Amino acid sequence: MTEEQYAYRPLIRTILLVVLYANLAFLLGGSLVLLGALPFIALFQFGSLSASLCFILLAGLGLHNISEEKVEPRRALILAIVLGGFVLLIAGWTLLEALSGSAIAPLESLIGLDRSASVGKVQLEMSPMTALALIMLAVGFLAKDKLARFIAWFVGIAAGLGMAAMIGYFFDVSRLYEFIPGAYKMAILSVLSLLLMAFVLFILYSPGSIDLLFGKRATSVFARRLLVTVLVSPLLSGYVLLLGVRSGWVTEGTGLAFFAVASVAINAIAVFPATFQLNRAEQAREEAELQFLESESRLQAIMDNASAAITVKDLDGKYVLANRAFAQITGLSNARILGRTDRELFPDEVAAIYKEHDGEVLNGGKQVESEEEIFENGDKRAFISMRFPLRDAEDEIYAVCSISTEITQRKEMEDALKTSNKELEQFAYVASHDLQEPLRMVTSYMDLLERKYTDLLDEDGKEFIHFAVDGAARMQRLILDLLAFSRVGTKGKELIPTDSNLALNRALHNLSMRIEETQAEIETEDLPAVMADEDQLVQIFQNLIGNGIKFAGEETPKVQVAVKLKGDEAEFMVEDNGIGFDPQHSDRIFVIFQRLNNRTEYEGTGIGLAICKKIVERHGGHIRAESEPGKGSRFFFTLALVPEDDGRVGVFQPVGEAQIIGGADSH
Amino acid sequence: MDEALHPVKILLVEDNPGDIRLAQEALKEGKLNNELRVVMDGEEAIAFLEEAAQNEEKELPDLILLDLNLPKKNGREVLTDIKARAELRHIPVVVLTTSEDEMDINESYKQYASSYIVKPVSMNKFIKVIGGLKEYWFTVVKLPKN
Repeated sequence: MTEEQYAYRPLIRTILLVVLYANLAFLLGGSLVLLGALPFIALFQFGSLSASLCFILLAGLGLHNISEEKVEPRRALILAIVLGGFVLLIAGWTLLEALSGSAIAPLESLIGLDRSASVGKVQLEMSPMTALALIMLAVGFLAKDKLARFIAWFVGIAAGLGMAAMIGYFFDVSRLYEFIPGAYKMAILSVLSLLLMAFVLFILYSPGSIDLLFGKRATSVFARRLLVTVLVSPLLSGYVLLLGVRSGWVTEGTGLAFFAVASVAINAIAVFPATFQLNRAEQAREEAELQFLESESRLQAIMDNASAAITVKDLDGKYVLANRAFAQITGLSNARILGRTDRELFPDEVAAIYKEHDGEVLNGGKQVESEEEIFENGDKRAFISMRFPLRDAEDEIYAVCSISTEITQRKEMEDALKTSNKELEQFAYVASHDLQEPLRMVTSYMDLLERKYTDLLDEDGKEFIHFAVDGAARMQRLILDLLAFSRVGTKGKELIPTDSNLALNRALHNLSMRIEETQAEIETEDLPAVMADEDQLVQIFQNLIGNGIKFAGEETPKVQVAVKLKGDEAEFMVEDNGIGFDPQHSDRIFVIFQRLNNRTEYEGTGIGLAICKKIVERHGGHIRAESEPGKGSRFFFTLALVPEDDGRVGVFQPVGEAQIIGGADSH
Repeated sequence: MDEALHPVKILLVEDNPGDIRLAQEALKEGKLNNELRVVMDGEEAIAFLEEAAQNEEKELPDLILLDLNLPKKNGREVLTDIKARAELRHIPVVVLTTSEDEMDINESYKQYASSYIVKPVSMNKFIKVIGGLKEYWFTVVKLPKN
């Protein structure tokens, strides 16, 4: 049964049960009267026993058809054939008997009853019309779909005729029922049962009948209203009129006129407003269709102009849709791919990869991003694909959509960059080694010279040697610094959630000797988790805090490390109370080898801040400095906070109390 | 302080003449008497040691100073070779080289080097280091008899 039919199962069941019980009551009652067990009740013309029996069988069959229990198809078929066959037998016999002009023995004789026994009490035999209708019904319940629908109509018409007869009874207009030859009259119970069974057949086998009769759409409302007005109002007004005419209040002519007016009025009231509603509904539908077409063409335009390959595959993996970019990239036109699977279109390894990724989407029900590499004619092509499920109105997945962007060039550039970095690193390593060796020779032999020949040297000689040694030493530091600078990029690691506190502590540990020597006071607070390379973060802290200590001037160094959260970034600050610098230099100081101080006052090559800047920028952040001469300096740098849905680490630490370490209070 | 009864024998494996001379100068300073043998490449080093081992007079060195960057066989291979041979592996090998590379350091210890020293730039420091070496290996530490 369809879902709709299923919903109305109780209604169908009720109707069938009504038919069943009504006919059962009549059958039992009639049999009892016949057998003389019950006192005489004139059940004549109310129904016929044989018809009732047939209706009972058919109702039973109908109830079985819609029952929920799982029955073997074979058993169901046998039951249907038996019950239906029985009905066909009884009704068929009756019809044959009537048509052949009583040449065949009447039904009663089959069960050994004499017709005379039933005359005036209850009718045994059904009318030929009823018999015909019952045959149609039986066939209808045995047959399926189209045939049943046709039969339902037929039965409906037959029942309609019977209805006319019934109305005649009801209105007591003998003309109506007398036009039907007596033999063809249908008993009331039969007519009603017929109508109900025909209705059931109609619901079961007419698709959309339920929606029409019980739906909420404007058309269903209209149909229901129409049904009522068309069937009921004429009968009602007719009846009122009949009463009026019969009791002499109005003449036949006036009465008819009133009837006409009443009919028109009732129908108009029932029909016209509904037609307006229908019209509006239709207009809305047309508009919706226009919008739909517009939306479709918009979608098509977007898809065809997109540079990414967009495809949709159904649950069997067959291509349902592909845009122009896909055709261009793969060289396969729509005609060649629609309705085909990846297996048929691409080499096995490629198809396997696609199938795997599609599977992930279907099983997980979520979008899946992946990088795919395929080899085509010896070339390697790389794509980044986003796959996601398409869901229908019931939220069930019915297709997988895939959007792929070609990143071959990007990948090639990345690979080239990697090779280039590697070469650079090797170069830097070798260069620094090979550069240092001659330096060592220079310095060492200068020292030796000094040691061995110090007596032979005068002040100038000694001074010359000092300058030479000093030069070599600086050269060495410069080489080491350059190496460190280049390694920011080549030895940089992936950015992962990192606890800044750990990095800060490592930096302070590295500086511990200097902190103790200078009795520096370092103030810190709780730092958040950020996306960083921990080693490099240590370098930043170490450089900035180290500078703070170095450039303290006359004062005891005081360095404060703080953080401010700005959206998805953390802005770190390192502040010192040192000598400061002229703010107009605040950009220059980050340039490699730029120094603001005389070489003799403060050691250092001037690369520390350049390294900091390179590291911070590698992390996607910014660095800047603020200062006034004599008033200390503040260095700010930003790093990305760990995004919230990253399950890996790092509950972000809220800003807490400041801790003071270093100096006399260290513990 | 215990004095060795005979001059200690040191084998220096180094290819750079400048470094050789520096080492010689540094070793001259200080009290301890020592005999310095120099070989300038890895193959020569192994050959020399093998011969000394078979020689009746047992002229094996008491200490080997080994540079890592050598022509033909490099220092790492020499180290592995020495520690592989039963007649040589007892000799302490001190790696004396310019490389600060972590991998070099780790590998050297893995191949059973006794210690790893990075050559300082300044001569004064170098003299101190060599002095310290001598004192450690020849007065503080007990060496196996050859």
